[in-house]
Amino acid sequence: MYYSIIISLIEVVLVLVPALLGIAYVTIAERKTMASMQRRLGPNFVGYYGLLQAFADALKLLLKEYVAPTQANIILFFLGPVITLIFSLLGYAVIPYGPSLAINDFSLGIYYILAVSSLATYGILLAGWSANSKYAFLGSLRSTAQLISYELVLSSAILLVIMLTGSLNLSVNIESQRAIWNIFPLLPVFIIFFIGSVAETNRAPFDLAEAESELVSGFMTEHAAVVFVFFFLAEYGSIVLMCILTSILFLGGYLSINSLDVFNFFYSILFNIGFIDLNFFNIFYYFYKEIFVNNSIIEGLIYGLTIGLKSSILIFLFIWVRASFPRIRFDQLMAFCWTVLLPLLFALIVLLPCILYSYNILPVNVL
Amino acid sequence: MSGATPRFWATPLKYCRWAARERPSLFWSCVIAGFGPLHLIVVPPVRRALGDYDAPQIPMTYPVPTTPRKKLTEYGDETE
Repeated sequence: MYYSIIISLIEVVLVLVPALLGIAYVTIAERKTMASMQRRLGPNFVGYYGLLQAFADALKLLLKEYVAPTQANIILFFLGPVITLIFSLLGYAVIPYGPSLAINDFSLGIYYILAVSSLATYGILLAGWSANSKYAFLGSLRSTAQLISYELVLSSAILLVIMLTGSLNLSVNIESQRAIWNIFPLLPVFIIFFIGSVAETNRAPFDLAEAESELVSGFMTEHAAVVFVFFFLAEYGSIVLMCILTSILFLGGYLSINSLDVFNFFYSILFNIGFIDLNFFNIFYYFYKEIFVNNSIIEGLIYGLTIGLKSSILIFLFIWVRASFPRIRFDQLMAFCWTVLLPLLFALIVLLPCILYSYNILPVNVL
Repeated sequence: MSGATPRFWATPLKYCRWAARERPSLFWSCVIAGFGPLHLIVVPPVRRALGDYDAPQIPMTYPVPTTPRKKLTEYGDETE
């Protein structure tokens, strides 16, 4: 019994440590990328090329003094960031990094991620309310309203993906994209989902909850030192999680272009014009099989690198959007959700099943 | 556009022109959603007319044998 518990703990550590390291490096990537877009250097002092800046920041924040405002509700004040971080990291439990390579690849994985990301709202609400500060309270109200509104967008977009794949399991969703990635039939939904995930993670241009010019720093105005680190990690953790989820739902997750297919394509052209002969194919195929098919470590590495690369491209898009667009007003944010995105999604929710039914292409498990 | 907001039941075409300019997201959402039921009405008969019949459903169980069943009289099989 203890053996299985220890194995489970090791599995959790194996996922969480790289995830947290990745989150730390996303912060550096963001600062360097934005610096490059704004023609400055960015962090370049701590470590080679500024690569250790995140750890220096974390160390500084960990060594800082705790400050809690007078008459703040101390328990909720410190519990809020903890709740946010825990629910942000819980989402990583169902992410498949390869075929059946997840901590728990259970059948309602998509529901689970949606539920967990909704629960993170409570941490923000509690932290903002308990700080006994107008800025923090207004920030938490804004953030809660925004998250609840844009969750509808995300869940409606996910509903369309589920209609196409017929499963709530993330692995089944990925495997059903072997023929074609969902981004091609569902490009408008992908764009809406991306906008929704930018808003869901409180990122610019939808970062009204922490608008410096109006609310100092929003719901985390009074938080400093370690609890601020928790908020910071939770924010970037949910960004990375949303990017991984987007790459799973729309970009095929760990599926990469089959290198043998690419080879076959070029080989058939070169063979037909008489440039190479069959021996070349046999030698290539032998090495291909030995390196990629019979070697599970390299196969796993390719799966991991593929989902990492797709998520990194999406994270870059998040940063690019932040560097490019000015912040919008809060009423515009709400109106955009309720009067633009949701009507479009509801229209697609009516259209897509009609198309699937009339062309008899409903997924097998729905029939 | 000048003048009062047109009413749908009085002047439908004018209302559609107004809505396409002033409420584009709602208008085009209705148009996109309207294509769904239109698909249901138009596409299946056209498909059948062109010979594109629905594929038979994938069997989810083993097929039931059509040959006559052997009547069992005892508990065990015939071993002698």
